[in-house]
Amino acid sequence: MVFIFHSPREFYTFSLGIKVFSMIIAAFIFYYGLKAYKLTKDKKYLYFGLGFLSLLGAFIILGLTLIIHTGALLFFNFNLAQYKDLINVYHLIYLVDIILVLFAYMIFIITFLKIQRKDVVLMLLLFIVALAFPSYYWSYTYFNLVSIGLLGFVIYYQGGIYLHRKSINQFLVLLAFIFLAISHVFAMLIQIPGYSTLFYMLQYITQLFAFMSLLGLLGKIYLTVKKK
Amino acid sequence: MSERRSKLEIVYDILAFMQRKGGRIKPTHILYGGNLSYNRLKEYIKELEDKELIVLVEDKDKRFYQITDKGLNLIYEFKKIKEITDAFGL
Repeated sequence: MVFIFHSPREFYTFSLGIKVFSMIIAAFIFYYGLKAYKLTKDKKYLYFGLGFLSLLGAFIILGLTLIIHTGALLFFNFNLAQYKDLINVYHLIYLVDIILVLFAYMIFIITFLKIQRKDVVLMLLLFIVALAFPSYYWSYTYFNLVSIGLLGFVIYYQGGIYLHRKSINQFLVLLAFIFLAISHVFAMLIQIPGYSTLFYMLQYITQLFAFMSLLGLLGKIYLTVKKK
Repeated sequence: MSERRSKLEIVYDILAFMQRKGGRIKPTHILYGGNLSYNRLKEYIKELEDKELIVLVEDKDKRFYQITDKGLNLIYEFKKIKEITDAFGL
């Protein structure tokens, strides 16, 4: 199943805008993760950065597909989905997107649990690939369920940190992951007949809230550090 | 949750301590700012020198470590990085 075909046409640009916004935020956090790694050579920062790079990759791939698909549809009234070969390309893009998103969530878990052994990291990432294939062949719901499960663990960890330190910054991070998990819940509900447009929009709005929380974090840090 | 300082925090502490002391400091005084053993501090100093964040200068037969412009810029970046990584519980 390629979900862009199930998205309401009038919201293609809306979802594309949110994707671009999410890309920018993910790129910023990746940059800081990489910078922290370059300075310290501590792998946890590298993994942390790679998690956001993986999300960025997923957004770029899906964003580009949306641009090409929407462009052909809006400017040339040409539906690329009518070509069987192109559908297979879309399916492949979708599989890569699933793998990258699940990779990102697993990398966050690896980072937060401070797993540094290469063999364990590799095994967990291979496990993610194993999880991605059933998502691709069976259903979109399976992918979202796996995502919610992985994000549930991240939320549990971040919740613990927030309760321990009670800072606004940690609250914003916790909020971002909660919104991301909710966006996967809405993504699952897209398939309910008659409500697909509503849940499609809610999925993207909650994703927007997630990355707005991270923007809030970056903005707050930028302003605070500047003032010191 | 561990309260042990990360490598990033140690590097930041050393550079920020040097900045507070006017950007130039005797090698032995770094020990106070770094709050590390002599051997571990030597490793950190070497790394900071390799990255041109600090430089060893001689003034009136006395040796000092001086923070470079690159080091000063990094303090600002460090603060941001530290806040971000702290927010994610790293």
